Amino acid sequence: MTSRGTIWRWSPTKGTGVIRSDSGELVWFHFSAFDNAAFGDVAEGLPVDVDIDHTPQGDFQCRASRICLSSPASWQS
Amino acid sequence: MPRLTYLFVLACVLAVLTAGPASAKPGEAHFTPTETSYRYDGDHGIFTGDAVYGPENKLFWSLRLSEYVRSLVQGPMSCGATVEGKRGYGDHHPSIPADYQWHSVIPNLQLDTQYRLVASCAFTATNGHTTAPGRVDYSVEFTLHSS
Repeated sequence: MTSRGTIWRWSPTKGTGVIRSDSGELVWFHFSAFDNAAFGDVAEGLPVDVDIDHTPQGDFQCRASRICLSSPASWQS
Repeated sequence: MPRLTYLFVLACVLAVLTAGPASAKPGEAHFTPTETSYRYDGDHGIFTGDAVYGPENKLFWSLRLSEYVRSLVQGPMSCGATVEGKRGYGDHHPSIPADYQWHSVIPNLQLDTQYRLVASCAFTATNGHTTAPGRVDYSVEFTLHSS
């Protein structure tokens, strides 16, 4: 199931980060989960659509299996 | 008591490459400034590679074991990776769960140079009745082409 969220933390040196979903869940991600983003496109604060895999990763209870950058305009629908 | 010995080899030739550069072959990743991603999705796991070109050329990679292999792993794994052709790189985790998405960055890569990433995880394998040492090996040759 796809959730909406925002990139909350992004570490370009590690290629990993954390998404905060609209429901408040913190979702760990690796850059490879992105469908439609170049490395330089990723930045904190960007809205995303994320498929959440409820497998723990380090200190996090879940991780992203697929991420799409979404435009804020698409959130109006 | 019978002993089982598991040696799982993530042999790239045995699995299906589901995505990646058009020129890619299993176990062989060719990156260019416009084809920067590689994904190998096989029976034993998923390997991803993302090249980032710049002043310091890097390869971000990750490895996840398949559900099948994970089901055979009992307890934590000890994993390590090195790169043939590049001194000083190593990534080691003495104790990680089988479902961990192993990830690392190989920095300061030379363009148009072939490297070989060699990664392996050692663990206790079980079939539900008995245990034995198990291991997963993965290797991929990769090159960041200048064009």
